[in-house]
Amino acid sequence: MNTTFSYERYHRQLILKDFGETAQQKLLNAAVLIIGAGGLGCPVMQYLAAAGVGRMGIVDNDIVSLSNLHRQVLYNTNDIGHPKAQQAANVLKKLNPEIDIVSFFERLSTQNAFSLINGFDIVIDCTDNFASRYLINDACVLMNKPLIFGAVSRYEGQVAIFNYKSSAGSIAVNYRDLYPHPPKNGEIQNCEEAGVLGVLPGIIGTMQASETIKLITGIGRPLINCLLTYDALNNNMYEMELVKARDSDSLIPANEIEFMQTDYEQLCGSVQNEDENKFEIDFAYFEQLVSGNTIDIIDVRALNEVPLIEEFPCYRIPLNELAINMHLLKNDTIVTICQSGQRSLLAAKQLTAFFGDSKKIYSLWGGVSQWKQLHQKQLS
Amino acid sequence: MKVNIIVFGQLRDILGDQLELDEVLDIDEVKNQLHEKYPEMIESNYLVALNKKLVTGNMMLNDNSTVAILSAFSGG
Repeated sequence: MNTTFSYERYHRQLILKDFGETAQQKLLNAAVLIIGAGGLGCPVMQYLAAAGVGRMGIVDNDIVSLSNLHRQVLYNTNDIGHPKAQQAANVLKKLNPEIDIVSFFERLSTQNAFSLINGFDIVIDCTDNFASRYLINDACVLMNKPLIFGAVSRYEGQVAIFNYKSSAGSIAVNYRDLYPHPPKNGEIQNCEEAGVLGVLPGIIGTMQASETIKLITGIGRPLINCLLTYDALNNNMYEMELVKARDSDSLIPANEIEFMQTDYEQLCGSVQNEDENKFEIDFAYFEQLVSGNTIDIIDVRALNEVPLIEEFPCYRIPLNELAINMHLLKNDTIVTICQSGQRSLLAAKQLTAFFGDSKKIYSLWGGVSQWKQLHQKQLS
Repeated sequence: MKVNIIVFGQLRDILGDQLELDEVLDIDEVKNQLHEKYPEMIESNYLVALNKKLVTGNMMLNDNSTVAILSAFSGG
């Protein structure tokens, strides 16, 4: 980690009353983990890197797509198909080469949350779904890490600092005190369904960055145990004081082992049943399996579907013919793929029903079209 | 007594931006009246604040109290 900083780079904030070299040194010594490199994550990352936060981790398993660009302002049209975490890190390293930036092209899960969060002082939740939000909240409570929360919907946003004790004996509110239980599936629409004004995550993400800087440097009155709601349509700011809810802590897993056994996707109703989770693998893990070379890959699309797969050997068995071709599969690991990841999930279930536990069976999340995009960008 | 209610998040689709209720004494009565009038919000995930402070149980209202109802949302 760097121990010196450029006076010229940070001059405008160094001359601020109550900021100065002491605050700058605190920023340089800080390590923050940004989970989600989308609409909220972009301004958070950009302003924290510019301000000189010494070490930043970026967790995201998504790739840039065209519909992201109206609000995810770190990326441009040429980035479509690239992993967001890596692309963001590239841009930020150019913005500020004096700081350490590490990207994790991974899907946050109960299995990797503790190891990802462990090396950082503060976690910033910039995700876009309830399963991740409850998972991050609970992990931060168990690991005693302050959490900078931000969320947007349509024309509104929320910002808060959870799980931070400003002095010994003071309370530390977390998301479970506000909303003890996740909403049921379909009850609340996400941005993909409800829409969001492009500048809104910009405003809320910038507020999250500001709160992070205040918390690290000790200036001002950060939103500790407060929830700020912003309504862009009428410029209304509503700030409320938060208190501990009775029994809310009993909803959080008791320890790391219990946490790792908790299925947040299932709790938040984001999957139809718990079986689906265990099948789906992301691109990073898929590439590892492919390079391992002892797997059977099955493309279950109809025979006339394109693009063709030439990057690795695979069986072409349409879903409706899978049952009569199972004898072809000799390896102990099978990955099913299709256009978007839906039919391959069905195929994975079908194979599991046939092979039981004798084989490891996976379905490629996101499908051929997304994988191709990513793979071609990686080669270019 | 009369209470002003302001609404945030997707419950605005059901309740509008703000509304008033008469003859309510505490937060439980506010919720009950709203649930009766708008049954579709019963299943909804929301928090209640009274005069800018989170309510985790029940609370008595004062004249001209402002109650806020905030839907959970998760977009990013």
